[in-house]
Amino acid sequence: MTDEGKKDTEGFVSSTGMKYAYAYDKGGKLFSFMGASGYPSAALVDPTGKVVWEGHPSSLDKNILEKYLAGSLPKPMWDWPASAAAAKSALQKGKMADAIAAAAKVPETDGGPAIKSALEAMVTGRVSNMKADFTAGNFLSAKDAATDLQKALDGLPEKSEADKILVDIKADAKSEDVMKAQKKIRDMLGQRLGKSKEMEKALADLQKIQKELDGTYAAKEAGEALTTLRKRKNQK
Amino acid sequence: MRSRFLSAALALLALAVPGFAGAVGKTLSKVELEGFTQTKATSYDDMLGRTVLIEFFAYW
Repeated sequence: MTDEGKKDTEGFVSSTGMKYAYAYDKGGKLFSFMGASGYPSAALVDPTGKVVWEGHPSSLDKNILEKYLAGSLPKPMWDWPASAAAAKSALQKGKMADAIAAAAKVPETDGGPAIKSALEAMVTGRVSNMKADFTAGNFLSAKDAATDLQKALDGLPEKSEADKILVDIKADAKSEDVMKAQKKIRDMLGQRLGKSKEMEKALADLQKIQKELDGTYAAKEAGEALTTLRKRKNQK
Repeated sequence: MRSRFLSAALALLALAVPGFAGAVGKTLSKVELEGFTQTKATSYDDMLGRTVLIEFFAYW
């Protein structure tokens, strides 16, 4: 929500030629939720509403964007016909089997088959991303995705893929240490680290993770977090 | 004068200092946004199913 009037914001939008959608974040609630502390900041949100990346807009990597676009509906729900209301409602509740079943009942003249195919592609994309995360050693994201998919895919054969990933994560000797470190890194990035002492401790902890978990996804993330925190430190 | 608003799109700006932290992995539970413009969406729920880039701007 703009602190000033709509008129000022519209003037700004008009002067920049901005064509894309915008809305008002009243009270800055979403801004606070994101833990953002400066402008501009950006976040990429996947089709389920989960934040999958955040940072400076210019630092968004093409590969991340492509990865999450793969599981995205080609046509937004607001363009779906009224006959697809049940599919829309099920999707908003995260129930993919119900959404696909409801889409199957949407008449062909209303684009039912295309909606059904899009939902099926969404399932395929989410499963594929989960497996890619596991293969890359990103156990935390893979576990989060698998846990979500177990609920979302209930009633669909693809649910077994989520079950398998959770079993495989548990069976991996390093997974617990890696996920613990990944959580720690996310927590660190979520803190303000206003005091110099706090910042130095975070940097030291990240270096420790890098060293102790060398070759793992956590070490990679620690390296990226080090870069981020050093930039923040230098900006103070 | 300083305003704050949110845009949802696939577009980038490269301006000043990055500032962010810690929401990766979290699900947006109840997103209370108002005044959706330049879109047919009337709430964030309408955008579910789509990959959305949210960009926070400020202008002075």
